[in-house]
Amino acid sequence: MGKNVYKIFIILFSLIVLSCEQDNIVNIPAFSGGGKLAGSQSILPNQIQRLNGIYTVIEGADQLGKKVVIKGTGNTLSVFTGKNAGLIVFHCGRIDSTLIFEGYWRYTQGSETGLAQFEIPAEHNGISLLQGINPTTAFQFHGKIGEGSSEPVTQITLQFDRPIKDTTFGILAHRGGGRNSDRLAESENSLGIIQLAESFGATGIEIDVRLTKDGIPILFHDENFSPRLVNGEYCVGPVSNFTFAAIRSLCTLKNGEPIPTLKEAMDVVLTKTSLSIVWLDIKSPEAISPAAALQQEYKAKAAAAGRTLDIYLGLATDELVAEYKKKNLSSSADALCELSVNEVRNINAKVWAPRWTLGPLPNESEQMRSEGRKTFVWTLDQREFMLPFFTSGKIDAILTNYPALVAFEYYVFQ
Amino acid sequence: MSFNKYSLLIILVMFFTGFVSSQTMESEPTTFRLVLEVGGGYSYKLTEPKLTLGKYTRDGISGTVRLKWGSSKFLGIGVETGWIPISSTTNDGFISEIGNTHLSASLTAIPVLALFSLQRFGIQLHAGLGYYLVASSVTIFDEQSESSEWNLGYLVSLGYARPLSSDFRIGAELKWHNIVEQQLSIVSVQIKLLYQIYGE
Repeated sequence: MGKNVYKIFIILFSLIVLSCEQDNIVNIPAFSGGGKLAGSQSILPNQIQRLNGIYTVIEGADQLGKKVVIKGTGNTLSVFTGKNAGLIVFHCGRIDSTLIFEGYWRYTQGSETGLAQFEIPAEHNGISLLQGINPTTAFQFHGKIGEGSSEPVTQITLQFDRPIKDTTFGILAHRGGGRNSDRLAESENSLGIIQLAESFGATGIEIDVRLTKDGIPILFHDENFSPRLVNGEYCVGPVSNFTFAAIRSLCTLKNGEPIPTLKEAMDVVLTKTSLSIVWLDIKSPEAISPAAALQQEYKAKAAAAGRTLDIYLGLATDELVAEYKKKNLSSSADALCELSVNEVRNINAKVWAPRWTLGPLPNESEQMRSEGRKTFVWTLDQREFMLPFFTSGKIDAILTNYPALVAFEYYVFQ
Repeated sequence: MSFNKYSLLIILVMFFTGFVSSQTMESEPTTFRLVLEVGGGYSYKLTEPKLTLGKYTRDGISGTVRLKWGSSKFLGIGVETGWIPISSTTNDGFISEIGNTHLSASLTAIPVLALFSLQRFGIQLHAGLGYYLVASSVTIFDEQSESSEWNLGYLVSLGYARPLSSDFRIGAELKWHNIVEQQLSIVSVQIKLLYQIYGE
């Protein structure tokens, strides 16, 4: 008996104490001294966006796949690749009439990364792009990528194929930036990841809204604090047990950022991005009213700034819908409802958001469209299931953890 | 995958002591007994804090109550509870983004564990698995936030007890608590009194 007991003990404790600890953070490399961009002049966003399009990979298909999508947002230029949901994120500048693009590449479904450096010399369209002439099929975009922080040596040549036809399709980054927050030094639902969302391919974000004990709406996904999402040993149990002052003083997000308020997040969306959709995933009924007030405030601010910004109160449960009805918000607060189409009509939600596993549901989506509503599906991360949603033509947005993947697939599909 | 070095050490200790115990069993008649243990002592939190906000204390006086039933010579099972002070922080001049204030915070745990024990020649090896009620209390800007949560965890301990009388024994124990979900490790050294409620 003794030996058996001893074996049981060893097995039991081996199971308990052997835990997997994964460190997935990818160290994004940067050019020493700021690279060539350090001495460059800025390029206007509309000049950068002239490079938008679908490109054929002439050199570098092993690294990038056969096609890539190039899309500019603000002063960054992103390249979405067909391989491993990869992306290259460039900052842009010019020295005289030579356009400089420097940044990093990364596989968003892996840990590989490296430096990327492209140029458009003045004599090869640099001047014409600056002067407002769009690229033609003869245009080639040359550069190099490297491994880690090593000097880029692998030659890449991209040839312009066609422009992106439609950029109004919604690509929504889950929790502010999707699973990119697992691998970058920016936490989910943080101000930092929201500012990066566009470079990942997103045109909108989904963020999670909870209330503190003293009624401040903050961004946080889980009902309870845990070391998975926060640092700070005194942050234990339900978020709603803590005052805002306690949370901001005693807890930080996983990468050390303060837990943002909804107001701070909306300020960032409005002033530091050109995102066009914000899906506020409301996590408790009490959060509906304060979130609705901020929704109104920021819709007005966006309108005053000439921005198109749709902000939706996301209602995923009967309890939330009941509170929305009780507060009689249907005429003033745009809602996104994850329940049935009947419930969507019942509360006059602007968006119906079914789970992607239900399939494209073209009839229901068409009904929604005919009633002036939109259809967003969530949370679709698998490449092989995306095409039916694109071909149905009835879906207005996809919520995803891999916006670079959806961006590549959707823009190439067009 | 990586081993926690403490986990590895404990597994090796268990492997060795279990092996020795199993090899030295004798064919004496086995008796069973029900024992109440009460212990108290010093505890120390091993895990480093990720945020330090003032005067930080990571030790204190912990207590244990344990009810154990089993063979007088080898195997026992039981339940354990108690009190573990994990850490506290105070700062009279805490500078927050809202302003200066007095800050105080504390973290404690109450274990509720199923216990397994191996004992031989007065040496006791315990392993417990269960939940810890981890409780936080924070006061900032004169507003108190109280919160708690049940978290999975386990205990490994090594102790020794010797008889004082037919019903009482006295002993000491080195304990290691690991509250897995909160990533908290606490060691404690306790003196304990054992009272035999039932048995020979």
